[in-house]
Amino acid sequence: MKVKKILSCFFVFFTVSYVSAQDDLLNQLDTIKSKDKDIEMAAFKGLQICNMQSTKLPVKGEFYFVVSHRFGDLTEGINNFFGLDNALTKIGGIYGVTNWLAISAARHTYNKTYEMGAKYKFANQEVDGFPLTIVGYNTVDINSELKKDENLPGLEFKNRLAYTTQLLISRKFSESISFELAPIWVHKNLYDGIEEQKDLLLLGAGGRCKISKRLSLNLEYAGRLNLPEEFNSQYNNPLTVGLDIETGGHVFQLVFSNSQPMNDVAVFSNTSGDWNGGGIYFGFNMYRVF
Amino acid sequence: MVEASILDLICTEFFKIMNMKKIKIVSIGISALVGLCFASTSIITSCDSTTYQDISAVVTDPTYSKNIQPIMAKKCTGCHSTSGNDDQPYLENYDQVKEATQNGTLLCRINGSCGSVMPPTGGKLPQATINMIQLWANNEFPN
Repeated sequence: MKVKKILSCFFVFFTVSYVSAQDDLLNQLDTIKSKDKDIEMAAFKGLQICNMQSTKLPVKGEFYFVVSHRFGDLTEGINNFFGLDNALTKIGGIYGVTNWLAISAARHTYNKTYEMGAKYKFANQEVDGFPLTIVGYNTVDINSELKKDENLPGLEFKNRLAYTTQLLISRKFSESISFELAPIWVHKNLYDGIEEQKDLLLLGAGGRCKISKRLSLNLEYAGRLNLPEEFNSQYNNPLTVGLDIETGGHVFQLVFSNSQPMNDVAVFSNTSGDWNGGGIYFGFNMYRVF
Repeated sequence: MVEASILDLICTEFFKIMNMKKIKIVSIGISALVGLCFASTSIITSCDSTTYQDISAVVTDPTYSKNIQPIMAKKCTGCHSTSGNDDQPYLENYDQVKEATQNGTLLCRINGSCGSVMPPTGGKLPQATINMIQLWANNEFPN
């Protein structure tokens, strides 16, 4: 029922925006010369909101070097020195092939995962024009940690793969407030038949609130929509708070999340921490633009 | 002749519309989405999912406490317990699960060979798990 409600909300939302786009078309017909509209810039400063992708893409020819890090569980206290032990790292790069297409590759500590991604823009938010920025994002994960041994005799290469498909829809409401909605589909070629789902649908939401010229506060959440009824999942919905710090050429993001892994598949389907009862991870994303 | 002129008219109108920016964005978007759908479905269908249970080594000596209880707790007692939906039979402890397997229909319900398949949502249990519960029954229900 919940899913239906959310979907119908979406439908109404899109219909409304479609109708308003129709009005614009009629206006254009009336004027002989149509002028190009300015693209609304920088709904988000970083390529990520926190763990989720934002609707920002690199411009053509830009190369981003990414290092992300999540320390261990903060709530364990002195036992692991507030998360110094058991940290996870992501190292990767993103290249802007064109202004509307970026490709990326990264290596994660978690499951020794190689993650490849493609991000492509369908539409830009325009000043007094199209109201939304719409971006598609796909990732493919290769789990290189699995080993074909006596415990896992049936392992094939395809079992290592997992995918996410995401549609990112954002709107910059003002200079300081931006918001994003993201329907997300996670598919795993190998999953735990008791604890996990083969296909998981989520609705993600994220926002940015600028608090000074160089600082902005980010928040994101994703809710899993198609868990079986009466199923008590050992995983939780990811909730992350972040702080963007912009320095020349860098965007530095501090995050607090209940997900320690950073690859999208794991963030959306295997978040193990709980904001109420332990498992909060501190870390950062660092971007360097070349 | 009439048909040709109609076709011509449709074509010119179509291109007129295509020249307008909004439509362009929408059509590019739609064609990209369609392409994406094809691409992703072809990847997905060529890579069917399987479960850890089904590619793992077969459990040769399943016991209730080690192997069966965790499955019941995760997949069954959400309904089949007094604290859940209060559905019969309860599957909360060794005696109840043994009773349901030995004299009840637990095995054939999870197999799907009698009545509607259990669990009702979230898909059938992995075949390896069903086989394990069968083996547990064949081994006279080790606790």
